Amino acid sequence: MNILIYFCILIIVTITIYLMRKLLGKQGLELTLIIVNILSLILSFKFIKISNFSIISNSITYVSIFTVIYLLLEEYDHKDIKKTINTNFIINIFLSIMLYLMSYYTQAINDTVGINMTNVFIRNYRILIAYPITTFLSSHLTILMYNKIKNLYNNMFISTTTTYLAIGLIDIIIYTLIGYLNVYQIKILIEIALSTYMIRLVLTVLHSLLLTILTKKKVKR
Amino acid sequence: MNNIHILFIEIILCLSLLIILYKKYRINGMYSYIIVSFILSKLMSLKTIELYNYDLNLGIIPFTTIFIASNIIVQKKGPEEIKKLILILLATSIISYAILYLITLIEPSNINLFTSASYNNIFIDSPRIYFANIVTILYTLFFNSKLYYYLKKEKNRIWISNIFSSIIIQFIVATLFSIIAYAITIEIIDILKLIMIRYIISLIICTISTFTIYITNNIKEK
Repeated sequence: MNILIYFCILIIVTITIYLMRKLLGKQGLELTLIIVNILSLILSFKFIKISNFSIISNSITYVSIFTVIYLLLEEYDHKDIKKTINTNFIINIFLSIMLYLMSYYTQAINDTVGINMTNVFIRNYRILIAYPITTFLSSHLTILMYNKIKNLYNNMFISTTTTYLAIGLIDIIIYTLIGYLNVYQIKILIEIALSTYMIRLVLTVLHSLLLTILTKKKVKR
Repeated sequence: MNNIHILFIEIILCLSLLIILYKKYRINGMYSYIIVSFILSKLMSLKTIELYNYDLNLGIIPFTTIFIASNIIVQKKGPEEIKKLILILLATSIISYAILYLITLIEPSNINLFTSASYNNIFIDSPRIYFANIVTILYTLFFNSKLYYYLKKEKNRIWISNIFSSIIIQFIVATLFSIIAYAITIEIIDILKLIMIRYIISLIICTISTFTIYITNNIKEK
């Protein structure tokens, strides 16, 4: 059942990327990047179980961030993409501060949600620091590495998967260390990092197929 | 630090981000800001705080600044641009709610069950407030753009367009949100108190935010 629900989320995100690109072009992709980025931050606080793997629940939206970056890299100027990534970084910092501040308000007597927000956002405040840093770093490294690999192998599938193999590992290690070191045992950290890395690899492969279809140029007869 | 101080910090943060995003990315920056504020206000509005013995939903500041950002778009591009924005916000609200809700249905891992349970409790119990937020913004954003543009054509003064459109639209916003979110579940007198406090705070934010429209108006086009 978990896999089915997670698959539904994958379909929703994939359709969103496809439709936003088709209807709004570059602006659509940039706005999709912001939407999946925000959702990824909010989802990063929960761990879920997929086939006995404990992973961070934002894996689909997180991989989608890079899918959108790959699409932008294929079709538009790299300077604009760096600007978009810098915008995302500013937005992530803003969101982190707002989510942290939100939990400091004195709630009303009738309020039932406030205590849950404190439990999620204040107790796991390190994720509010880890997420913006790792996303910013990974996005810039992805642009560098993707271009280099693309110059060697002009194949989108190879470029995206190889980029993820390297950058994804750096990303999850840094995120796990900043977010969870001294919070959980080393054994659990390794489990989280490896499981999330593997699931994100599978998602990257699936998204690469989407990317290959989207960027196939139609040949005029 | 009491609630008023934190609200004030929030206003400064929101308006600063609005100006930064406009300065760097112009109208696209406003779209980005509106999406960020929209999702953030939906999440924050699930929590209620106390302000001088009045209960108030959080998220009112990012929510109100959405209207300021849309006024900036109307100032630069006209009211037709807002139709596209409303469709984007509708898509954003459906996608974000679907994903956040579906995640609560997935079995949590044994790692940190406490946080997972708290996380689920945030999103499962309050679909009505979520819905109220979405309906209110989509409905009133359209009328706000028309009214702002009409006042702009008639008087051509930013402060008149912003403040007078806010006086009318923010009252509709406060009323619509309070009724959709809380009708039948709380007393009528409490709904009226909520409408009043939301209206007053929204008006204060819109008045303070007039200067941001002036700042963005004076930033030269690239």
